[in-house]
This record gives sequence, C-alpha cells and structure tokens, in this order.
Amino acid sequence: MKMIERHSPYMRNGLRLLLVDRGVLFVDFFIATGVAFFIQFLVWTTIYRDDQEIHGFSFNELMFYCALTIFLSRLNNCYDLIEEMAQEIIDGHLEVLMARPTHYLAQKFFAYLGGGALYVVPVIALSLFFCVQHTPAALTSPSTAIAYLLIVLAFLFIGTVLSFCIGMILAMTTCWLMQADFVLACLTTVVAFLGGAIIPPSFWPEFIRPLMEYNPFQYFVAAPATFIIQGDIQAGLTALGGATLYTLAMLVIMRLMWRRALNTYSGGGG
Amino acid sequence: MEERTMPAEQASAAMVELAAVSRVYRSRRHSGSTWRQLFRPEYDEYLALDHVNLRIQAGQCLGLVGPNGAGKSTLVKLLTGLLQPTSGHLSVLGYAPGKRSVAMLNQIAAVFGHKTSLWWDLPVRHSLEAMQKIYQVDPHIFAADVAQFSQLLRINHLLDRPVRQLSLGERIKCELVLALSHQPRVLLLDEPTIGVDMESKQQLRQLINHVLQTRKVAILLTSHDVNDLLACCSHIALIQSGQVFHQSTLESLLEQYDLSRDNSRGLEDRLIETFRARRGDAEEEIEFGSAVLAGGADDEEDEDEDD
Repeated sequence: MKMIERHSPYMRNGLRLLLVDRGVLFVDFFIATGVAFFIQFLVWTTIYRDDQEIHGFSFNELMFYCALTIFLSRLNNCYDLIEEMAQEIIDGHLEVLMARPTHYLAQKFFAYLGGGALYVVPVIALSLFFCVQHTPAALTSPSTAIAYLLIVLAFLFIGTVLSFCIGMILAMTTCWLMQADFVLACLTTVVAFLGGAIIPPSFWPEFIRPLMEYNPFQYFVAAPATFIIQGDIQAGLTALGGATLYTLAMLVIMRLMWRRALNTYSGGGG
Repeated sequence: MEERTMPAEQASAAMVELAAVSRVYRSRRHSGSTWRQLFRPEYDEYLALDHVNLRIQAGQCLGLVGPNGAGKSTLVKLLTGLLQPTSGHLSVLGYAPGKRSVAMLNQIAAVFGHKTSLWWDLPVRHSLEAMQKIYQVDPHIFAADVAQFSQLLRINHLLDRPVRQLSLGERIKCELVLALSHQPRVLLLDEPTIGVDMESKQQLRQLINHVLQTRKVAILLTSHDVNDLLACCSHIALIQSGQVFHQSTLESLLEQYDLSRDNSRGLEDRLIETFRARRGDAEEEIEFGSAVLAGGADDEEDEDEDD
C-alpha cells in the first residue's frame, strides 16, 4: 500500500501532463483516430456486401475491431516513453531521477499508467457499446460473463505492462545507439503491421499468419480486440497466457538490460 | 518552527565517507576503419576518479573545487548510487550508495544546477506535492518547511506557475526548496548557482547556510564560483584529473594562501594558479601570456609609428 502511495504521484503527474497538452489530446482523440477509422470504413465498405462474413468478422464487427485496435494502439503506445527516456539518457538526466527513493523503472511505469489512463475510457466505452449491440455468446451466462469481464481487464493490464517493457527495452538501446530516431521509426511501422491495427491477423495469408498471431505486439492490440468481439473464452485465455509469457520474458530482459545500460551510462558533467 | 536537533556523537560521525575510491570510464575509440569500429569496437579506459578520500560530517559543507572534467560530477553520481566505484569504499549515512536502499535515498537530496528535478510542464506546486508522497513526509511538517523555504527565497508567487515559464534563477530556487522539502540529512549540490543572477545567488547561499546551521545537514557543494565557497563552505577539497590533492578547512586554505575571507578575487587567482601548476603548464601559460602582451605591444608600436 505504501509502495503504491509512494508511486502514485508519478501516475497523477503523468495524467496531468496529458491533460496539460490539450493539443495532443485533441489530435489523438479526434484527428489521428478519426481519420484512421474513416479510411478503414471507406475501404471495407467497398469490400463487404450485405451480411457477408470474412474470416469470421461481419462488417459491423470489423468496424468495431478497427475502432478498438486504434484506441488500444494509442493506449499501449510507448512512442512517448521511448522518446522521453532516450532524451533523458542523451541529456544525462538519469541521476536527477535516480536520486529519488523510487526505482527509475517504477517511476516510468507509473507515469506510463497515468499518461495512458484517459485512453482506456474509449476502449471500455466501445466494449460496452459492442456488448449492448451484439451481446457476445460469453455474456449469456453469469459465470462466462464474469470470465469475459475479467479476461478483458486482464488483457488491458497485461497489455500495458507488455507494451511498457517493450518500450523500455527499445528506449535503453539509446545507451548504445546515438539517437532513438531509428528505434522510433521501426516501432511505428512494426506496431502498425504486427500489432494487427491495420487488419486482423486472421485476414493475412496462411504463410504469414503464425507471425501475425504469435508476435508480442498483437497481444496488446489485436488479441484483446478480437476477444472483445468474438468472446471466445478458450481462445482469450490462450492469448492471455501467451501475453503473460511474453511479459515475463520482457521483464527479465528489461532488468538485465537495465543493469548493462547503467554500466554503459556515464551522463555528462557540469 | 521547530528545528531538528542531533546528538553530538551523531553529528561528529561522517555522513559521507570515501576511502580510496576510483572510477574508470570506458569510452569507444573512434579510430580505424568504419567496419572495424562496427564489428570489433575498441575501447579506451579513462580514470575519472583516482583513489579519492573524502569525509563530510553533519553540519559541514565541503566545497569540491576543480576545473571542468576533474571528476566532480562523477563523484556526485557515485554518491547517489547511479554509478558504482571501480574500486574503493564509499558510504553515505552508513549505507553503500550502490545498493540504492530506500532508507538512504530517503535521507539524501541532490540539486543539479543544469538539470531539473521538477516536472517541466506542470506548476511547481505539483512537483512539491509529488515529493511529499514520494518521500512520505508528514504533510504538516512538509507544508511548514515549504512555506519557510519559499519565504526565505521569495518564491511564493511562483508555486502555481509551470516550471517551463520560470527563469533559470527562479527554477534553481524551486529546485532547492524541492530538495530540502523532505528534510534530507545529506545534500548534494552540483553547481547550484550556475547562471543565476547575483541577488538569487545570495538568497541561495543564505538558505544553504540556514539549513547548515539549523539542521546540521552534511553538504557537498561543487561550484566554480569562489563566492559560493566563501559564503557556504566550512571545508574545501581540490580535485584535478580525478585526484583530490588538497583537503582542509576553508580557514586553513585561506591562511595557506595568505588571504582574508573577503578576498574572493585573490582566492580565485590562487586556485587557478594551483590548478595550472599541478597541470604542469604554468610556464606555457606564462609564455602564452607574454606572447599576447608582446603582440599587443607591437601593435601599439605600429600604430604609434603610423601616427
């Protein structure tokens, strides 16, 4: 409890920073998401006919999938995290943050939680809207409904931790690379492609599907969106297990890299 | 306001102690072919600190003086536990900083003049509120301390302003209040007055002296401004090329240089001479100086001739 209390200011200030930057908030919520969704809508309107289903998705379901993945990508977007940490490493700013009695990685995690807190609202709102409109099979009995709800929440939490770990691992490479630009450019492309925000993994050709279904990025974008829409408890639990394994592996890698990064870090003098 | 007091034996114990501490940096060598650099990088080793011995007691302010690149910031990083010593032993409040125990970090504070601890885009008050929670300080004591320090530095009107809108001097004052707000027992000040105007410098020095006297904090102050040293420090350590080659009270240093306390210019000159002499280029500098003078004299002569 004390630990949470000690770290809560990072979360609160992370959220405050998000609210202060109203321009970014407006772009994120309306322009970036709206334009992406509109393009998807236009493309799939020309492909779908009436009640047609493609790879298990009706047009309505696919539109929900697109909207959910857009917001999940934003919720679990570690771009800012990488950019900020890279800058701190380059500027020699770590000592300031590390003089505090809270671990640097924990500071960053709680700030990441706070910074993303607002983006969980549209994900939950969309999920509720979808459930009211379509009533997934899992919601027909109380026990499966509870399981459905818990799995959705677990996906949101594990997804946040997993994306944070990936972000930190990529950010730490700044200790060996000169700038984070290359890492950031890679991340944007990789998440858009492997995360499944463009189209669901099941839409890809057979030969590439294993990559699309078992890469770590899809566990915090495509997997929760697919689960919310299809409501397959078995498949959801399997995906959640995969996400947990990836998260544990990333946590270990992050810890190991952090030690090595600190050995490499020298910062600058006055 | 109630000030903290400390038992005599605790006050005499070393709050910060370094014994034969060395730190080696490894930097990548940028010579040879690009392919070789990429696949078989070679490294140079650089001794940033060389068997440093230091000791700071409660209520003492040790001024660490040395030219750029002497190892001052490295020493501060070692004391915060960010870096590990390559060899030697160091302790802060009896803890090994490298272990970064919460108990130790709770009792130390650092101000880096050229780096900010405040949340850049948020009002100063939000950073202060965060510190109260992070350091788990009693809210009443915290509020009283912040009010007192803010009044001393005259920054009450700045607390609701975003950090990014503050001037350098205003920001540094806020940094110092932030650092002192959790009642640290060890305060590390890395060039806290860099780029600060004269009045602000004076206010900062007054506050440093105030906490030194009333709270018996152990302070390590690195600065290039001799007025900071004269105003705040009880002890001085001179560092160059990673070696601390002189450590004494300020009084005995002034005595050694045959200077009075109000002769800041004299102290600056003597310190420069000392560092030059140790670097071994004293002669060179004199020759360079005389060459400039000779050149200047020639020019004047030429001008005279022209006239």
